[in-house]
Amino acid sequence: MHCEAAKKLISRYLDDELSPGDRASLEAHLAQCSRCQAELAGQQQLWSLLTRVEPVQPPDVIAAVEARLSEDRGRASAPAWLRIQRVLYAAAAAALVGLFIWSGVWAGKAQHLPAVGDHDRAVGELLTDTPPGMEVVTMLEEIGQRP
Amino acid sequence: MPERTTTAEEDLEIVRRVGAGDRAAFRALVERYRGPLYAFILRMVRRPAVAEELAQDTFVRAFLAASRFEPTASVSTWLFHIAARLAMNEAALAHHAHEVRGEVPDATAGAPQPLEQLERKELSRAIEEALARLPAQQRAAVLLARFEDMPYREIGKVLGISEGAVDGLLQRARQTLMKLLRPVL
Repeated sequence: MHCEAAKKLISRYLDDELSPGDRASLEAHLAQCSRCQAELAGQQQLWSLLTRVEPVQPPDVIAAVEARLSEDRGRASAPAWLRIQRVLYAAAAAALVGLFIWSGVWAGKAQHLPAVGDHDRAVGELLTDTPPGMEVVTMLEEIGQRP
Repeated sequence: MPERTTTAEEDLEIVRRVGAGDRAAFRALVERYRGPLYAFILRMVRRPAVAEELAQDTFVRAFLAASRFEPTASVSTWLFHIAARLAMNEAALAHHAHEVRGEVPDATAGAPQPLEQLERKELSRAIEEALARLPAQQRAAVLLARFEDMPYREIGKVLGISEGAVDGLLQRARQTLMKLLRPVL
């Protein structure tokens, strides 16, 4: 085994990831090569050094995690009639947006391009009329399409 | 290096109970893994507040996915996979925003310290700085191999790469760390 091949195996050798055959070949080479022995020793020293970092004190996350899970469940546990209402609102909003866009295209084709502001205002009014918390993503999760 | 107080089989049973909605089992899972996961995430993103948020995200996602957990990998690998994806996304965002400086907080900060302790802190800082200079995937591979004693097969599952790719990452990481840490080796 040449030094170049041996050096490529040293990393896996240190991590005990070599096959028995490769291990035997590398060890045979190391027995005769002081340069590769020095490379091995250096990497052993490095690996040992890494553990001398100061310990990290983890925060206590359980309370925050449980609070977030409760919040998540609150949204998902709304009564069926409310969930259906949310779906209908979202469907109506999508239909109206589609209608406005279509009417804009039709009007444009009839050589009258409506002001962009009219469309934006209409969509904005529609969305602000939607009851609070009726985000589309929430709606999708509630009808079983949780990602 | 990691101090595991539960076996892989015990972890699987805990996750099975979490999937059935057992909150006590979930608390046990969080308590068991919050240390290793937080340390890993912190060394990936280098900002304690962000790391805490991502650690919470990891556990929330784990709870929501527990009922679908298939034991094709260990619980540890599964949790670190979730954490690694979150941390590497964040690290990539921070890199684009050039927010690469950060501190890994020192657990002993605040008290007057003897020289020996100061030298140990300086050494720790040098090691943390060297780790921070590795590209994110190399850093993740080193953290999992060295601090979690994870075999290449499991590291590959955490990072979504082959064992050969893990070997490549660790070889390059070791070469870079040798150069960066030569003064203290």
